[in-house]
Amino acid sequence: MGDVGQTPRTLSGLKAGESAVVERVDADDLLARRLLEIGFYPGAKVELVASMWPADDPVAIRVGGATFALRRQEAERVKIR
Amino acid sequence: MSAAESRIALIGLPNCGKTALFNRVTGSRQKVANYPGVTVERKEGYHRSASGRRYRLLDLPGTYSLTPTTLDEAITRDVALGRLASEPRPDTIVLVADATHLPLSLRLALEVKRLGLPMIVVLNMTDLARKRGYSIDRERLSKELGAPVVETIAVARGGADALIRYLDELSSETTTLTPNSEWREPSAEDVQQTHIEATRILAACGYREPARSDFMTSVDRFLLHPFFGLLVLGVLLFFVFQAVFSWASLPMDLIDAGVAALGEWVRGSMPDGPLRSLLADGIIAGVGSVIVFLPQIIILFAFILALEDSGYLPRAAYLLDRVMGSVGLSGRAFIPLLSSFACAIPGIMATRTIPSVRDRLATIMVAPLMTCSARLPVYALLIAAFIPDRDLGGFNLQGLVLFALYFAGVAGALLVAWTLKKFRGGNDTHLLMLELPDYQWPRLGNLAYGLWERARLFLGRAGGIILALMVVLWFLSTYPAPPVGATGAPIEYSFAGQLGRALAVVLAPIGFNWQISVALIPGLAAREVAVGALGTVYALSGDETAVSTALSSVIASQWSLATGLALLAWYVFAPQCLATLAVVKRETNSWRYPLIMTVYLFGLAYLAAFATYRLALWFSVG
Amino acid sequence: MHHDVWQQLIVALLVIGSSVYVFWTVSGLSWRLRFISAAHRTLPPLRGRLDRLRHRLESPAGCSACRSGSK
Repeated sequence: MGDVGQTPRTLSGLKAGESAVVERVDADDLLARRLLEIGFYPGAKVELVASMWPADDPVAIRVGGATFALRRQEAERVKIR
Repeated sequence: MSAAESRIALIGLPNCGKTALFNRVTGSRQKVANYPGVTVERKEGYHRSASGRRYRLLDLPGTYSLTPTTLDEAITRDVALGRLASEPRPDTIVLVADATHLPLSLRLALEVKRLGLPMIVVLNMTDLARKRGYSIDRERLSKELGAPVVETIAVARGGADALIRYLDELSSETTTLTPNSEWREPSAEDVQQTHIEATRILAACGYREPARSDFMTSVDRFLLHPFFGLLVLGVLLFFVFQAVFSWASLPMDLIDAGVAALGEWVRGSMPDGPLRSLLADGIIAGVGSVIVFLPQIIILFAFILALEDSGYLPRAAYLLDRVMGSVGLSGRAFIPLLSSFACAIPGIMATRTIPSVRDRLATIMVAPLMTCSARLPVYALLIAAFIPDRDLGGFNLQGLVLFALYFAGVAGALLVAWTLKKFRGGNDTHLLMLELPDYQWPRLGNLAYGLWERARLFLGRAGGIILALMVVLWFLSTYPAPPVGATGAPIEYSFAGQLGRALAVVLAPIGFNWQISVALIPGLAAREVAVGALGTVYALSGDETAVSTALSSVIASQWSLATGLALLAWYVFAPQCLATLAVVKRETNSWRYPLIMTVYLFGLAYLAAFATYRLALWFSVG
Repeated sequence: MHHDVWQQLIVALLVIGSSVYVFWTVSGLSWRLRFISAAHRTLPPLRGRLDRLRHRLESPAGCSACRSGSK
C-alpha cells in the first residue's frame, strides 16, 4: 500500500476492478468544480473500469451510476482512500 | 405567464434523451437556427395541446450543471437565468432526467430548482430502467422535490403523453413561485450539498438502481483494453471500409445502367439541338455520375450512425486520446473528426463541445482532411479506372486502396495537427472528462431516420447546386461553338476549354490535363461535382460512342496511371468545397482561419500531386 | 425552325436560372444583399418581393442547410 500521510492515493493509482471512496478533490478551479459535479464528491464510491497503456492516461471510472473517461491530470485531482 | 403562449425550456444532462423527447412533443414543428452572435444551435419547437394552448419549447444544450465549461453550457445557464437579451426567460423548466442515471440528474434538478422557476421533472427511458430492476416512489419524489414528476419514454409513440397532459394541468394553476433574483453561482460546498441531498432523497424514495449486468461490464473492460480495444477498433474500421466498397457495387451498377438508359432515351426521342444536348450531356450525364455513389454513402452512414447510437464512439475517443494528445488534439476531437468522414461541415460544428479554444481550432483546421463522403465519388471513379479489381492476399485490392486513401487523409491530419502543436508551443490543459454512456442496441428507427436524412441531404445537393452547376458548366463548355472547319474537339473552343487551358499551365507539372483543370473549377463548389463535371467535359468532347461508355473506361484509356494517381493525391488534400470554408468562417468568426486553411490545403494538394506524379513516372508506371 | 427558337429560349432560361442559383448559394450575406440591391434597380416589378427577401436576410438567421447532429 502506498503512503497515506505524505502522498494520498489518487484515482490514477487504482488498479483495474478496484473500488475506493473519494476523500476530496484538490484545488477550486473549473476542472475541480466539474469533477465534483459529475460525481466525485467526498464519500462517493468509485470503481476503476479500465486504464490505458502506458501511463494510465486516460482512465475509465465508474461513479454514481455513470462511467467517465478522465485524463491522468484530471484523475490525479481526485484524492481517495 | 401569458395566457396565449407558454414558454418552456428543456434542461438535462447530455445523453438523457432530451432531444428525442423534444422531437416527440414538437413533431415537425421545429425551427433550427443559431443564437445571435454565437455558434450555438438554437432549437425551438411548438406544440398545440388538446385544450388549444400553444407551447413554445426550447431545447437547451445538455449540461451537467449551471456552472458552464463550454459555450453551449453557458447558453443553457444564460437562457435559464434570462440573461440573454434576445431570449425572454422561460415560464417553465422541464428537467429531463435519465431514469438510468438518476443520481446525477437529480443533483442537477436540485440546482435548477434554486432558480425559482416552475419545474416539471421528467423521468425518461423508464422502460429501459425498469427492465434492469429500477424502481422509485414517484409520489414521494415529487413531494421531496416540490415539483411534479412524470414518466416518459421518448422513443415510443405516445411516450410523451404524460408530459403533455401535465403541461395543460400546470398552466391552469397559478404559481406561487417567483424567480430567484438573488441567484448566485453555486460554490463547491453547494455542489457537495446537492449530491448529499440527492442521495438522501433517493434513499427516502426507496430508489432501486437499475442493475448493470456483469456481462456488460466485462464487455466494456474488453473494449476499453489498451491492446484488445485498439485491435477491435482497427478491425472494425477496416471492415467498414471493405463493406462500403463491396456491398455497394450491385446497387451502383443498377443506378449506372438506369442513368445510361435514360440518357439514351432522351437522345433517341428528341430532335438534335441545344436542349437535347443540355438534357443528355449536361444534366443526365453530370448529375447521374454523382447520384451513382448514393449506395456507398448510405452504407458508410449506416455504420457511423449505428456506432453512434450504440454508445461505442466515446470509447473510441478514450482509446485514441493518447495518440491524439501526442499531436495536440483532444480525445474529444474524435467524434467531430469521425463525423467529418461523412461531411466536414457537421464535424466542424460539432467542435463546439471542445472546451479549449486552441484544441478546437486545431480540430477545425484538420477536419477537412478527414475523407468526407463527397470525396468518395472521385475516389471510386479513379479507383475503378486505374486499380484492377483483383484480390490481394484475401482482400479486395480496390478496397485496400480506398482504405489507404482514408489512411492518408488521417495521417495528413495528424501531421498537420502536430505541426500546429509545434507552432503553438505552450501547454494548456486539455480537458477530456468524457462520459461513456451505457451500451445499447442501435435503434433501427433512429438509424432509418438518420439514413433518410442523409440520403435527402445528398440528393438535395445533387438536385440543387450540382444540377445548377452542371447546367452552367454545360453552357461554358458548349459556347462559343467552334468555328467552321475546326479540327479539334468542340469543347476546346469554349469558355471552359479556354479557362482549362489557362489553368493547365499551372497544373501540367502535376500531370493534370486541361479537362481535369476545367472540372476542378465547378469542383470548388462541392467535391463530388468534379465527377459530374468530368462526365460533362468528356461527354461533350467525344463522339456518340464515347458518350455511352462509362466515364471510368474513358479516363482509363485517356489518362496515364500517373495522372490518375496524382489526381487521387490531389483530392486527399485539396479544399474543393466552398461550403466547408464558409462554415469555418462562421464558426471562427473571422476570415483568417478559412484563408489559412485554403492556402495550406491547396499547397499540400499540389505537393502531394507533384510527388505522386513524378514518383509514378520515375517508376515507369505512367 | 420554330423548334430551334423555343429550344434556345428554354435553354437560355435554364442557364440564367442556374447561374443565379449558383451565385446565390455560393455567396455570403454581403454579396447576396448587394445582388438584391442590383436586382432592385434593374427589375422594378419585383421590388416588393425583393424587399421582403432583404428583410428576412438581415434578421438573425442560421444554418438551415445542414444539421449538426450534436447531442
